[in-house]
This record gives sequence, structure tokens and C-alpha cells, in this order.
Amino acid sequence: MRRTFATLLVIAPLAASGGEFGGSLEARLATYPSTPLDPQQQKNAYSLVFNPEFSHQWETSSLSFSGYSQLSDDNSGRSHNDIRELEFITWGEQWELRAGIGELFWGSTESRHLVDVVNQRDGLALEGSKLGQPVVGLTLTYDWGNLDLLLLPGFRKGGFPDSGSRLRPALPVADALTTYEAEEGDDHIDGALHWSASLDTVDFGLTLFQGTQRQPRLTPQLAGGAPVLIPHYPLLTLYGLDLTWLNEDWIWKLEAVSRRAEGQTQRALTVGFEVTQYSLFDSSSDLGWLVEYSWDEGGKSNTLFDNDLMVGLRWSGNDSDNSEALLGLMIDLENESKLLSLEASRRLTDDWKIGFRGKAVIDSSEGDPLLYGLRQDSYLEASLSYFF
Amino acid sequence: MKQSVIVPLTSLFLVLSFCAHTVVADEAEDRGLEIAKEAEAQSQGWSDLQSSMKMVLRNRHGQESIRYMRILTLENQDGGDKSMTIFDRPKDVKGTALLTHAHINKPDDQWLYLPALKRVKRISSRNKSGPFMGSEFAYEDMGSQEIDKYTYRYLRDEPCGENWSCYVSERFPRDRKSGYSRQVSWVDKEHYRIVRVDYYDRKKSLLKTLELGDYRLYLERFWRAHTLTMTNHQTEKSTTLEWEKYAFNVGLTDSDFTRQVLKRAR
Repeated sequence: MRRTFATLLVIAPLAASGGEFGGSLEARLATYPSTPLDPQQQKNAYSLVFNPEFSHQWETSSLSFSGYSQLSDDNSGRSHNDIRELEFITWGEQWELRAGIGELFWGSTESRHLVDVVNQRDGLALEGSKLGQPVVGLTLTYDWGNLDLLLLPGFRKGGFPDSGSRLRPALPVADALTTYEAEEGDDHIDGALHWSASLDTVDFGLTLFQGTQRQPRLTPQLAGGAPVLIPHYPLLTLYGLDLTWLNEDWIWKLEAVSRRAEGQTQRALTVGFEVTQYSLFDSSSDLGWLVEYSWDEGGKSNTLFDNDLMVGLRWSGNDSDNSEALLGLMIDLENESKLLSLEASRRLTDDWKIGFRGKAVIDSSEGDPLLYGLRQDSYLEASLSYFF
Repeated sequence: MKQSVIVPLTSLFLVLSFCAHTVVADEAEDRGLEIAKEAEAQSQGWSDLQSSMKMVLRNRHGQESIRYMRILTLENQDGGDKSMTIFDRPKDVKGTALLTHAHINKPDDQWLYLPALKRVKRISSRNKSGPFMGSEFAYEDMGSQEIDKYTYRYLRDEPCGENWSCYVSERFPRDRKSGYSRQVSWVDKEHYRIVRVDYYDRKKSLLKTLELGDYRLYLERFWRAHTLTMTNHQTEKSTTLEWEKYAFNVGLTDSDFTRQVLKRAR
């Protein structure tokens, strides 16, 4: 609340001085057809998401704001507010300086984002969006590429829904008992560096991250006589590589990381391709095939992507309503587990848009504990968005 | 030297250093090529351009849907032009931006910025015949138009436009991925302003007609059409591009066309 007020203090005078407002309001309805594992879990979920945006640009600087407010059913615990972006940027010909709260993306693959380590995932938003990260950054742009140097003061916890929600861990998460490896706790200042360059048809990037790991380790414990999960955020050193290579109609993608945390080094890799067939059957539609393989030394208790194959189909109508759909199937190569996902959207008018999102656990093996815990949580969500 | 997004439509036939093609069998082919080269020569040397446009899509029932975008272009007479297209409307794609580094002898480099994900994505520029933004303009109509990508044939002289005397010639795409078998164009003899282009599909039937009008003169040299209407005869849909702002020599440089700038373009 204090933060919201501070934002208003910054935005209000700027709004008076000109600048551009916009954003969206989205209503969502999700239905979970299977019986929940825990009877207090919801059958349907409703939410409203408000995303106001403001930006103002001067000759060589800009200020931008992007907010996120989600209002959900009481018992899901998913209602929350966040400042995704409140950032001042100033630049010269070969440099850019930023300060504030920001969001960025590093990486190349589609099914998993190994090197995209700066922003915390928003654990309360179903669409997998990210929390705004306090940042002070310098970017240098030369012939040899782009160098991002970031200082990240202030750590953001991921957030977990309440026991009434679907798509949550089996035990309640005791957020108040969160522990950190860093002595400063969530005041630890993290650092990140990303160098990216293009060589003809190859784009590549190198990442170095040193700071508190975004994904917590959850340990079951008894708190007040009841079993709970306690999040622990260790310190992490990560080296990463991301690569995109265009070869005629084929786009090859690779992300690889080496992570050192709690005295252990784990490596992980995602590699694959996307190939698109344009003007399908003489229509204006395109059909793209996505295939990505993921491997992770962290194993099945830490990730869904330890030894898995994703096969996806991306359809674009290229029509005036911008109709598109993405269908993906994740297959565990060691057991029977399969997860189907769907995303589709189209414009209804210039200001309204309709969308669908869903996930279906088709098969889940007890050997895949993360997916097994979600085996009754297949869902389909419909959304209606208004853009202003 | 290549021009990108729309600029080419005002000067469809551009040049390339032309030494490779020595033997041209036919006089009509010679003539067609000459016209294309002259049109290109007349359209060069504009340096850089800042522009904005309105795109009106009409379906067969006359229902309209409107898009707005801004386009920055940097001319590069030795290689390919660079351009940045920033989408303002519809609102759900606001802030989406496309960076193109065009090339003469190889496919263009293209990056798309997706504001919702803050993600810059390298994309393939090989989609020639697909529609641009759901309009009747295909990517190949909007993109670079180099002399070398076509063969030519002069057909006849004919009056066209505002009582102008025009050359009518046809050109045939060399690229198998082109959606066209040939294009017929009407170009005025005095200033090489394109008045009309007929596009024939791969089955050789008339697919689309482009009509260009409201020509205005810039820097006392460059004629640019401000209204371009593409009509699809097979679907009865049409798209009109209206240029709203057109400013040459605003001082753009290579540093305005980097992936970093793409991220903050809004």
C-alpha cells in the first residue's frame, strides 16, 4: 500500500505534464473438471486482472510504469498487487542507464527459461508472469555486442497460493518462516551480467548471476504441530549460455546453465528447434513445429524438466483478428508422465480480445513428484480482455 | 540500398550493382530493366526517414479495422537499409516493434520485440507471401525491392494517373517463395512515380491491384505517394495505407537501429 502511494506521487505530476496512459482489464474464469485431492480446493476460479500502464518519453530519457492487480476468490489467496515496472531510463549513443523497478528477459528457448534468472516468478499469477525487480543497470552497446551490468538491491519472494487454491504444493507453505542463506536476508544485493552479440545468423548471450536463487527449496517441517513447507533461498552462482541460429526456415535454440548453490554444482540444458510452414495450403495461415529437449541434473524433485521432450504446434492465422494458438505436449522420457498445454487468443474488436489457456495432466507417475501432486489439477481458463 | 516497409511502393523497382547480368536477349527485357534502374536511381539519396501511417483494413462487407504504426528508416547505399516499425494500434499489440537489417545477397535479419514478455525474438524473414498485420499487403510487398530479385519486360506506353504518360512493364520474381507469378506496373515517364501495380498469383490469375495516389514532393527530388490502396480481387477485401507524417533527414544513425533501442521503442 505504501508502495502504491509512492507510485501515485511519482506518476500524478507526470500525468499532468503529458505522457501516455493505457493498459488492460481482464476477466478470467477457470474450471477444474477433476475432483480435487483436498476437498477444500476450488472447483472453479474467478479473477480480475488490472494492468495499468503509463509512459513518458523525453529526447534521451523515459519513465515507464506498469502495474498488476489481481483480484481472485477469497479462499485461493491469489489476490495481489505488484509494480511490474517503475523505471527511469536515460541513454546516449552507446550506453543506457536504468534505475527503478524493472522486468527483463534473457534467453532463447520456449519451453523452459534457464538463463532468465533476474526476475522472480509471480507464484500467484497463473499465466507465469514475473514480479518487478528493483534494479540499477548500465548497458553498453558496441560493435562487439551488448553488455548489461545489473545491481539488484532487494529480493522478491515468489508467493504461494492458499490451501483453497488449485495448482499448489500438497502442504501449506509457511511463508513467514522463510529463511535465507544470505545474512542480509532479502536485503542482499545481487549482481548480474549479460553479454549478447550477433554474428550473421547466430545470436548468442552469456550470463553470470551471483545472488539469492529465485526458486526456493521447500522443506517439510512441523510448525505448531502441523506439517508445513518452509521455503529456503540459498545463494547461487550461475553461468549461462543462450543461442539462436537461423538456418533457412529452421530456428535452432539452446540454453545451458551451470548453477552452484549449497555446495553443489548442477548443470541443465534445453535445446531444440522451431520450423515454420508459411501459407499453409495456400491460406494465409502459418504452422510452426517446436521440438525442445530438456535435461537437468537437479532431478525430478526439483523440476518437471529433468529429462523431458516438448513437442509443440504453433498456429498463426495472420488474419485481421490476430488469431493464434499454441499446443504443447511435455513428455517425460523416463516414465509415463505427460502434460498437455494450450494457449489461444483472438481479437474480437479493436479493443476486446478473447483467450483460452489450459493444462492437462494426461499421465502422471509417482516417480515425477511435482507433476503427480498436480494430477487432479487439469484446467481450462477462458479470458476476456479490454484494452484502453 | 534496399528500402524497407512501404517506401519501396513509391519506387518499386530498385537497383543493385548490376554487373552480373550481361546478356539480355530481348529488347523488351532491356527496356524493362532500364526503367527499373532509372526508377531506383531517382529514388536514392534520401538518407533517413521518420514516418507514421494509418492502415485501414476493409472486409467484403465494408467493415473497417484500423492500425497505426510509426516507421524509422535509415538508407544505406552500400548495403541494406535499416528500419524500425513500432505498432501503436490495435492496443493489444501496442509497443510491439520490428527491427530489420536488410541485406542484398542474403535474407534480412529481423528481430521482434514483444512488450508483454519484454522479449526480443530473432525471427525468420523468409515468409514472403504471408499477410502483413492481417492486411492485403504481403511481406514481400512491404519489404525490400531490389532490382536483382526480378526479371523485367517492357510492354507498352499508355496514359495513366493524372493524365501522365506512363510505361507499362512486367516483372517476374526470381524467388520461388514469392506468392506471385508476375506483376504489371504503370510508371509515369517523367518522375517514375508508380501509379498502379497488378499482382498475379502462382496460378496466373489476377490476385490484387495496388493503386497509388496523393503524390507529394520532398527535398525537391523525391516523389512519395501518400495513399496506397491494395484491393484483393479474389476475397474482395482491401487495405489502404495513409501516410500521416513524413520527415526526411531527421538525423538517424546506426545506433538508432540496435536491439537495445528496440526494447525501449514505444
